[in-house]
Amino acid sequence: MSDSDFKLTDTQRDHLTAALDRIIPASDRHGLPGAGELGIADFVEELLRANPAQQLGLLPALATFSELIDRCGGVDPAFEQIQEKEPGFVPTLVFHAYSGYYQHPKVMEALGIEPRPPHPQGYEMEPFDPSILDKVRSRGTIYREV
Amino acid sequence: MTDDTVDVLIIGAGASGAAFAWSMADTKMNILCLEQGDWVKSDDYPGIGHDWETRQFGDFGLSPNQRGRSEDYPVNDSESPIHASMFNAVGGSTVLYAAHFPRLHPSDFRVRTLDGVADDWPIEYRDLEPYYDLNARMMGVSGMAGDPAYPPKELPLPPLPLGKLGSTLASGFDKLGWHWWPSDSAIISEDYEGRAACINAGTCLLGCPQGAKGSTDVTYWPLAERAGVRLKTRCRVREITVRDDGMADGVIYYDGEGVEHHQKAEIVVMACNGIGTPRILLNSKSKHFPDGLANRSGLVGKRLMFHPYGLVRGIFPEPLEGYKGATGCCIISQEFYESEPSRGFLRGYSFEMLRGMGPVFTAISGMGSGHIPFGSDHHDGYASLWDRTAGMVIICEDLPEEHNCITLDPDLVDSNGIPAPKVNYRLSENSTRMLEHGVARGQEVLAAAGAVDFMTEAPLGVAGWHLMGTARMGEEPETSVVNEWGRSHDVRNLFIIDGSIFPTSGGVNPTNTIQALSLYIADTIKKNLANLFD
Ligand SMILES: Cc1cc2nc3c(=O)[nH]c(=O)nc-3n(C[C@H](O)[C@H](O)[C@H](O)COP(=O)(O)OP(=O)(O)OC[C@H]3O[C@@H](n4cnc5c(N)ncnc54)[C@H](O)[C@@H]3O)c2cc1C
Ligand code: SF4
Repeated sequence: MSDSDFKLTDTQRDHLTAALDRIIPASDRHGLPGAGELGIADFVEELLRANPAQQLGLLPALATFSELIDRCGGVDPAFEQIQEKEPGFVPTLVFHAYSGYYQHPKVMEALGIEPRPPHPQGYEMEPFDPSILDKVRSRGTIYREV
Repeated sequence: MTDDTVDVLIIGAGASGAAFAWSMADTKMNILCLEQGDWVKSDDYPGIGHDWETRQFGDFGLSPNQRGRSEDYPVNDSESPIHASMFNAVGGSTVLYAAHFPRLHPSDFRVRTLDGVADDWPIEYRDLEPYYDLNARMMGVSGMAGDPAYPPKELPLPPLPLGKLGSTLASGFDKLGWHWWPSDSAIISEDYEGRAACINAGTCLLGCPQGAKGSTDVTYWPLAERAGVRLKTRCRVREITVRDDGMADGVIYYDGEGVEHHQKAEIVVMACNGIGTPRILLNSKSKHFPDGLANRSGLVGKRLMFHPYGLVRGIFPEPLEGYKGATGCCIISQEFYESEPSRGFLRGYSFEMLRGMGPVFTAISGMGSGHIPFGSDHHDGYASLWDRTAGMVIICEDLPEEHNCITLDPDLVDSNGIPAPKVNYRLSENSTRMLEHGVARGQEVLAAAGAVDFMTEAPLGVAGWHLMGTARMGEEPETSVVNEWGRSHDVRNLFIIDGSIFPTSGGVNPTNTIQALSLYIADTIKKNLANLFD
């Protein structure tokens, strides 16, 4: 049962975005944005909307993360501490971050693939060339006669 | 509600039910199939959306427990290292299967005679050979004649492309002088019988929106329905009912609205797979059959075989274009298929090559294997894996053991309140040694092909997709559930046609054999119609 009214608050969104950027940071060398910067918080929000049961796992830990940011005076120390205080939070977020990030058209393009689903265009491939089997054929049959 | 009596009632519209229904249609009998799932429409498949990979963690998951749709029944597999994987819809598990379509070897039918273990089959390779050929034409099988691991066989379509990944792996086998061959695949490499050819999109394990993969909803079912077979979806069978004389007289099922029906039939045919069939038989208790229907041998649900799988992936220095091409259908190697006791185990295994992973799977599996950390090293880790993995699964012959079994769970039920199956399964010593051998040889061949690092998993926990042995065939009523043509020894108008009836498992994917057997059983029934119940 989806929860169509669910929406992250501004604070939740900001802090989630900050955590996502710690998980997948931007890289100039690879020409890739950070996961937060790319808007993967929207992907997580949509996921929590479609699967309200997952809100229970994520939102209380996100609230603890927010408290830690206020208390420690910054995202970096809070991100260190949340891994001790709420050991499930970062692994869950890593899974969601990887899922959302690597299906994003911008990331697909940076990986060198067309930013589209596999169907209906598919991919071109060279047809099978039977000459590649010459070596295997030369060994003769290998099954047991009965 | 009591429905009109039909001549033949098939339960389950998957691989076996479809082939059997099509074959029986020419008798012009009144044939009905009840299926708990629905038709899957082309645009329901994940492959047309950006989120296609993540849907394997949701509504297109391999495990019915994960999907949790009302048409799925839960399976308690907490006491098995290998977890049940199946799909419940028209087409059954062929909706999700990889469509790797090998045959058994002639030696697989003579396991006891040749190797002194398990049992011989009551039929031989040559009995099934014409039905393998027929099934290849009906399902649309691509492949290459001349495989040295098999007696000669003809296939209607040329092989699927190997691509850079396939050729790279083939070079490793050639370097070691090991057998390999392009896979027999129930995927059409060219337009065939009104179906459009495979476009190498690689989403096969989440269903094929193109209709190129031979799931039975696009192969047998349209023909069977046109020939007059009726298929009713969203109908879940609870139990088979029996007359006073101990013969089956039909089934009790729930329709999509939950209304209970009694469907009467002259012949009942079970095609619910190696878990679903024993489940319903065990749930069909009566005064004649207090331990479950057709279970006087006590073997219903016992001798479950899965094919323990191992997974070996190599990491290569170069991109392989591995996201292109049918996921599971590339190359097979049967270098270690036939028994060789000096290896430390009996019987053998196949290697089947896998394509690479899509962008999301690359990340998730790299997370699991520790190759892709989060944080500052993330992108370097990802770049080392993306489009650089290729590997194989190891499919081990599973020998039948009575403690590996399906029973009814005392607590768990499906959405109609029918008891769910429970799986108890332990990996045998023989399987463990076979897996170790396969993982080591797999790494050897990947290294020969150029791999510089490896990721391995054995047994592969998700790989409970080959379900066999739980109502075995045989000549003796004391030691088998059905005879050599699928007829129950105890109930002469009850037939079983799915993987449950395999006496042994071989070391290849079973569906081609399941369907060849169901076509063989249908033909035998047709030949014996005059004295079917004698
Ligand atoms: C992910 C995956 C990959 C696979 N890859 C391969 C492969 O490459 N090659 C290969 O050979 N095999 C493969 N398989 C296995 C293959 O799909 C099965 O061997 C084959 O589908 C079994 O056929 P069947 O007729 O026995 O059962 P199924 O095809 O599973 O069909 C059984 C049907 O019965 C229905 N049913 C069950 N109980 C009831 C009930 N009580 N009332 C009404 N209907 C019921 C189910 O809904 C289902 O539709 C794979 C399977 C999976 C899940
Ligand atoms: S690779 Fe071919 S068979 Fe597989 S999903 Fe794509 S079109 Fe279908």
